[in-house]
Amino acid sequence: MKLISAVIRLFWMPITLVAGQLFSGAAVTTGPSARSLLTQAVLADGVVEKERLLKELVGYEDEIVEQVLGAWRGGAVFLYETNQSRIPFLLDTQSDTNGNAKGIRIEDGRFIELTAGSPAWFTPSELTPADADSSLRKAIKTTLDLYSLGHANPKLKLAAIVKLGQEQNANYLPHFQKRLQIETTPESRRALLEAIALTRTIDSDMKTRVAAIMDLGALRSLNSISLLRTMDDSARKDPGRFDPETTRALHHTRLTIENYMWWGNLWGTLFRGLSLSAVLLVAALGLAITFGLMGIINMAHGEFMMIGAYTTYVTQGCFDKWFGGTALGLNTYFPVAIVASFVVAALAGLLMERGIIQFLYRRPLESLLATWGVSLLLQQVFRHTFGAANVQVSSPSWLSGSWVLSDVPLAYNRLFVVLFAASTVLGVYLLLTRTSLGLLIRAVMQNRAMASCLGVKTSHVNMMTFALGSGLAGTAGACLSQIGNVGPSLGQSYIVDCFMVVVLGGIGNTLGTVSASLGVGVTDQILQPWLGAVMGKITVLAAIILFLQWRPAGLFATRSRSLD
Amino acid sequence: MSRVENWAVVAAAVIGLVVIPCLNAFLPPTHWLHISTFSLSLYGKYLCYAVLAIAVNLLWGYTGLLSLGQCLFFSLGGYCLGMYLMMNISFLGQYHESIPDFMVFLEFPARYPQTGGLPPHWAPFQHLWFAVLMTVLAPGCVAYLFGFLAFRSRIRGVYFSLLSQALTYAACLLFFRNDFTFGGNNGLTDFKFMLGRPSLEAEEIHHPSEFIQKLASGQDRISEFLWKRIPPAHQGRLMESTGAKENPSTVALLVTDLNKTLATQTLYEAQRFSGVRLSASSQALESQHPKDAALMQLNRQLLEEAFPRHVAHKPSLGYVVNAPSTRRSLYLCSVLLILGAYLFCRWLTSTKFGLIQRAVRDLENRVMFSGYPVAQFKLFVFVAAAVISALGGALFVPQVGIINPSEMAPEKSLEAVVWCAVGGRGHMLGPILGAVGCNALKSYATHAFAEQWPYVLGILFIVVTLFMPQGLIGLPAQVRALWRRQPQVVPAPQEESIEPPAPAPSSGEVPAP
Repeated sequence: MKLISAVIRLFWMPITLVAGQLFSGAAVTTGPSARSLLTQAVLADGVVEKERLLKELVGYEDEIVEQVLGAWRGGAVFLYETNQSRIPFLLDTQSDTNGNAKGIRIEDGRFIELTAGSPAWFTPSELTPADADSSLRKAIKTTLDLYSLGHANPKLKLAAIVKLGQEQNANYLPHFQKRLQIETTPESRRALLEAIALTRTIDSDMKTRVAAIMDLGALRSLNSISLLRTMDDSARKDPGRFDPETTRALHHTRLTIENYMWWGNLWGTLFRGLSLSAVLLVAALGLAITFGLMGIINMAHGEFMMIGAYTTYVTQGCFDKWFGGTALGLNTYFPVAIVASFVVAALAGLLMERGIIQFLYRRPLESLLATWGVSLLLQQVFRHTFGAANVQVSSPSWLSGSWVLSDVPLAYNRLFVVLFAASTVLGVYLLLTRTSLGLLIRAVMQNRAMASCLGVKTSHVNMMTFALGSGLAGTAGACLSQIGNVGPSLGQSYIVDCFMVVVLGGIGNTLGTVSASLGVGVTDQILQPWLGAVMGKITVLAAIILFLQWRPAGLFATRSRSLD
Repeated sequence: MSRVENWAVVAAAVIGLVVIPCLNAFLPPTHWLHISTFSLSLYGKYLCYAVLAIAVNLLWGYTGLLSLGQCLFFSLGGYCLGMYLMMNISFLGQYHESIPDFMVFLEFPARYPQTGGLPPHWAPFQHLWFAVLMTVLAPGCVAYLFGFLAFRSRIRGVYFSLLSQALTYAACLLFFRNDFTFGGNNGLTDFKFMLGRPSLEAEEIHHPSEFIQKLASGQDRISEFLWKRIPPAHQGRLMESTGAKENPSTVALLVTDLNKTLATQTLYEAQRFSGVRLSASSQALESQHPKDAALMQLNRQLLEEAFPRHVAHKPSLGYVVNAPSTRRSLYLCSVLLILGAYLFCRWLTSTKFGLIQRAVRDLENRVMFSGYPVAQFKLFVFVAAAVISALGGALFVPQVGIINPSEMAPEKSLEAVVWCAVGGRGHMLGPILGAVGCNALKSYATHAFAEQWPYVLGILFIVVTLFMPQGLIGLPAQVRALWRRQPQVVPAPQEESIEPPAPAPSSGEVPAP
């Protein structure tokens, strides 16, 4: 069920995002307006009075509170003094060439005018800011933090809740409670509960304390683990520090959360392994066709991936132009780019097959050299055309961000690659087994002479097969442009791994390629934390060489009685 | 053909061994036939690459094994000799320490405190015999191990190529790591001396405490000069030890400080040496106002002459790697090496062994069924080729002056294969011709049109594989055939490997896609 909801989420993201923006922005205000309270606070005599007024400001959800308090703390609230009155004001963000700006009254948000219709201009360096000593600043900070509890931006709101919770200040408890009653989103509610529990862990009442600690455990609170660890450690060093119930609860909760973290790490590693496998699979699938089925070593396979990635880049540029740089262009270009990169890479493959490879079917080792020459040429062509530096391919909004599943972030672009890999494999499988083209491909690959005798145009089938493999490389490039750099050497970084995956999987076998890429990807990610990225890779390569000792023909060898 | 070949080899040997070095040594630099030392080293580099190409040819052209990792063995050989050269930098690095610069830079003294920062496996490389032994053994062992595993499980053809490429790729990644103790991505460079070094060794100081007292007393100007260069803290420690029994650590301290002075200061000054009778060789050296490595040699000589009672005479102060005479000798070594490699391969392929080798190339299965242990034959050739490559790499390093992991990147090995293909594989002279020609072209092209070089290389690849299956060596025959309008005279070499004309599965099973 979770997977399905993830899929739905992936595709409904744009819609929910728009809806979220439409329905946010409701505000709660009672009593005197925020603006007048702010004015009073700035003008009030004595720190005590100011702090009292600041406390009153808590609970207002007007943006002006954040704006003015932020400015006050930074020394950007000024006083305009006339004979009769003092008017607190902010400077307008737009300034003239001399750096002078108009003053905005905090009271009503209008410009300060000397005479009606002509606003006064102020020079920032000549103004004296409204005084704010360190204790007042602290009070302002607290008010700002408490203001953030109701911030319109959900991310800032969450951050504020977590931060205030970590402070373990019992004075905040009523604010948390109040917020909890009006908050509806599950994330915020959870964070608030966590903050309340965290604050209560140092409560004087033993029962409240134990309950709070147990609550943290029930919430699987990762934010509190460091605090719980220090408390638990100190309880172990000095058994008399807490009463036995608290000590027990601490220990239990710590174990619960650590256990949860362990599982989270495991899932994270597995997911990373899965996503790496998917990347390898997507990259190696085309190779499994050209190399596995046709026996052509296409060293330019990586460069076909590069062609795909650059096609994506060009498509993005075109959409940007047609849609005038709007988000619509960014969000829609990618599906088109995938198709385009398939077509472009397939055409390039077709050209190469007709131009070079068709002469080398009986000389596989020489096809290796010639295709390597092609790969050099292609790299240099792209370096000339697009520059040696990486180009910027931006992800559509529905592929950026991540889905957090039990505190493990699953990036949408990685999820996409996994889904894409799965659907491509399925597609290739169906093509090879359920279509007449697939039948012809398999017939030619198994026995070219016999197929030819039966009237199959083998050279056409070769051409189509090679184009298919190249096109798949192109889509792989489009896919990889979403998770890595796009540059002239994109292909080089995958080529050795791809060949290893195909050799390990066994030739002419899609299932073998899938399991080999899964094995390599997951092993690599499991080894990485222990050995580091490079040593992990080296170990995997060594393991492949050793594995081929045991099964020289790969994981899923095609059984045959012929020698070679 | 064979007689032509013999004459060509003799002529090339005479030119390489006599004419070119003479042009370099005896003609004035302004003469139009003069060959500069730089060019000489460049030729030496080409020859080392040609040795590599001979090894590739032995594998590919004669045994049918296309190794895409031959540069790994070339670089391993290079690294072994590079380590020897690094151990003989003797205080002339940027940091003027006894250990190579990169070890200071990467804070090895903290990692290996017992040896003052030198990883234990580096220590034996200060001896040339050990370095040369390792040049043969290390690549040989790696080749044996990999070959044993690969041939035992009958990995062949394309799979062998891909696996050997993966091997060199993995090694390349490994050598790029700083903590692998081989200099990380900078590799080994900045060589100074070979076959000896001018630095002082602890055992070369006789009567150390007397020597220290003499230096400290400052009776003559030389002692005064040397003593001033020793840091005050060290002076104190040295003075303390004079009365007591000789302590190895104090001597080591003195030696290190003196070496730093020798490496950095100009010891000679007419007044300072007024009381010393200088030998003729020192005077001659001094008159050239030497710098860097040669200066250190002069300093060492002067020290010996100023303190004959205390500093032992060192018969060989080593050869400066960058000196023209050393370069010439290295070049001559390269010519000799390539001659040796050529003659060895020629001999090997003319024996019965060579016959089986070619049989393995053409129809491996039939050879196997005839009862020959094919895997062992292949293993021998593979190890021999690795050792030949490694020797080439070992001579490559002092002439080029650097070895780093990019030398074992997969594309380098592919390039070596291309030289072989361009020159003509399966022929003894082809790869030499190809390697020298391609590298000369590359040197020219990277000067003249660096941007277009990959195009040239790429097109060369395609053209050679498509139209010149016999390479440059086979070109005359091809042209002659065209001339006589008989285009079928030169057949493309049929490669035994995964697809003989009628391919694979004869059983009725459908491979699951």
